[in-house]
Amino acid sequence: MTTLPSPLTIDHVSDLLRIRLIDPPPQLELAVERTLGSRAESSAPGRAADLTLRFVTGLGDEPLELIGRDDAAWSKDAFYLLADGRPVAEIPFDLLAAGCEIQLDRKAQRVPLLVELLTVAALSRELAVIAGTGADVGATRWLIGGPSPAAPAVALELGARARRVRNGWLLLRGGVHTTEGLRQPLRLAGSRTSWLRHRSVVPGGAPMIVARRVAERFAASRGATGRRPVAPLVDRLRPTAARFGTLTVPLDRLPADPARGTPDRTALFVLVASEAPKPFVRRLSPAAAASRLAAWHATLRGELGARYAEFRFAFPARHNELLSSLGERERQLLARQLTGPVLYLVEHPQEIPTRDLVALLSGLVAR
Amino acid sequence: MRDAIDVEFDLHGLAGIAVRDGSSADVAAVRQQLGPIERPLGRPADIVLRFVDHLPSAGPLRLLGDGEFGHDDRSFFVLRGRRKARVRVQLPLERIGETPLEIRAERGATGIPLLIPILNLTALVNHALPLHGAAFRFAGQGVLVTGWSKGGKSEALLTFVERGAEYVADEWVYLPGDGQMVGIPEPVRVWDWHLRELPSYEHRLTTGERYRLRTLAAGAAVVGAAAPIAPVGSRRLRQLGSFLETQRHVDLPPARLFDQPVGAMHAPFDRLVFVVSHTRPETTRAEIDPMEVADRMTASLRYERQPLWRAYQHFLFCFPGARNSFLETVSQREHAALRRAFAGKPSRVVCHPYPVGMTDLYDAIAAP
Repeated sequence: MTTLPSPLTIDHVSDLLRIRLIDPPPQLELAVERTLGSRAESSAPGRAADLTLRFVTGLGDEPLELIGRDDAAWSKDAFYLLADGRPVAEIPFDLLAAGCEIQLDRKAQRVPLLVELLTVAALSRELAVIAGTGADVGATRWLIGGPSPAAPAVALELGARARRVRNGWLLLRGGVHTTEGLRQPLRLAGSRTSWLRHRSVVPGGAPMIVARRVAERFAASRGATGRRPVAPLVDRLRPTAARFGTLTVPLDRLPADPARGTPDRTALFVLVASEAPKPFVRRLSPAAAASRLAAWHATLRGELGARYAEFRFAFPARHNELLSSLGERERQLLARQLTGPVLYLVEHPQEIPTRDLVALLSGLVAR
Repeated sequence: MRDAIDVEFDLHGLAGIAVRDGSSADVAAVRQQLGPIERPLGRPADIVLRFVDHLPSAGPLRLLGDGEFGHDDRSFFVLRGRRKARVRVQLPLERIGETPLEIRAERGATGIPLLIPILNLTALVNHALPLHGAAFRFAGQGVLVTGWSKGGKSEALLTFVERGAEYVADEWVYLPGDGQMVGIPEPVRVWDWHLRELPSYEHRLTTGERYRLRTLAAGAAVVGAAAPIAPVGSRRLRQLGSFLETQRHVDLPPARLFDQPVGAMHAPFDRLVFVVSHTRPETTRAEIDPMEVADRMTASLRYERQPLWRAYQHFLFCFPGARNSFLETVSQREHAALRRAFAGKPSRVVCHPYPVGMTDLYDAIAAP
């Protein structure tokens, strides 16, 4: 008798949160890795998954009621997200919590809502999350969140002397000192020639930095706007140029070194770009930091809210208390977790050189 | 000297908007957003849109994300409008739900961001429920057709007006709670496949509009044929094809489209029709509990409010101590209003394929 091979199972692991992929096709395995970052070794290999993605064929192969033309659909008991007019994910929004499983079509090109579902799983396990970057530098764990686009550039600068860098969403538990997180690449918008100092870690090196700088300058230029027929065409090219102007640096290219010591204190910086000519810094209370971060995270999870509204349209009687109270739950969790670190709101000029910003933050850390 | 025009808009007495000190371009932009409901209010406005040359900030402006929103020490600003155009609009999100609400904008804005959801919430405060839908009067009965976007509401309106119904509303219908429903004469979006199904509307288009639709159809066909066989750039071609598909429509004022003077735009709310598109080939009809429709449409209204909700979350980041309890609980208020408005109404669910056959849709709604 021939034993059929069991479905390929891949765990994307952190010490705190585990996502399990069951039987993923190569393009989706890659898509997950692009979203979450590279996999890490497990220190607890037997632990159950917090979110399971099961890849199947023939998802939603039944008559469906439609929401919009190409948004979502539902059957008697299942809710689907669509892409190109066919179901790509079955998500039971009423059951979303740690340990839930969603099914995905093997022909899908991406996993919708992956990061949002991950943060829901984390919050349901009482893990607070912060959208941003974390870096262990010397005796200090730096957590950088908030709406400023400067955070990845700060992480790039810190990467040269960090023991470890995490990027995307950071997971907090136990007074912040057991921080883990995703390994998303650093996406550096507003390319600068000063990054030439980091050319050894940037894919494509100096030529790529210069090319992206040119694209970024073009995207930001005002130029011939208003003069037909060239100006409209130029304007249409700007968004593409802006995307190309963003530099992507995988974390594994940073010269992180585990021998660089273990942090024994944590500093959280909420960064906000400002039109002021000089930086402005003030301390935040845990409650104020938690309120700001929870509100910011809600803006990042907007698509989850929209999809949950679609689900409620399809199944008005099926409700998820966790999703309905996610913002408040997150605020409370953060307020509890942020009692340990020093917390700063840093309003910085938009065009501040990254080195100056890092020097400012380092000065705060040293206090 | 620069224009400083004052005009007023009246949504059937349910919400009044005053534009103060606008330039002619500002007034035109607001007219385009609100439709032709411009008339003197004769009462204090619920929403005042005040235009100024320069909107100062109290302290430096802090910017969020890619500069879509900002705040100073006291106020929240929206800095991007339609198609990401730069605007500078001071939006008191903490006061939405109160009247009068003053929104200040720098002149030259391409419209007031989030004006329609704010107007709808103001109508709700004034006890009129805004609902995504189409409405018409047919055979002496007022019919409200509601459902999710692309569910077939406008198609129902087009096919019934062609068969003699009186136009009441498209896109947004307001239920003031007195058993009536009212609309605003917003342009109706007509897709080229509508014209194939209902060719009698084609002569309401100008030559330029017909030419535009034919050119887009030809372009979409060429791109659609080329995309699978193109040696390079097939993904880009597919994206271009999808973009062209989304452009194959014209927006026509109801007076021109329906070739009838836009009347009072109100009718009694007699019947409720809930439309849903599905993957089956047939069009079906069945009775439905109107409370079920109320429950579903509560979620639809919440979905429609996402852009305003997103702005509110940004506002909470800027001012973590501030809250707007009206905005945070408005869904419950809408749910209660929907159940009150729909209670006891004869209700039907019509499920149809997309694109829908207009005759099948008519038969399913009109059948006794």
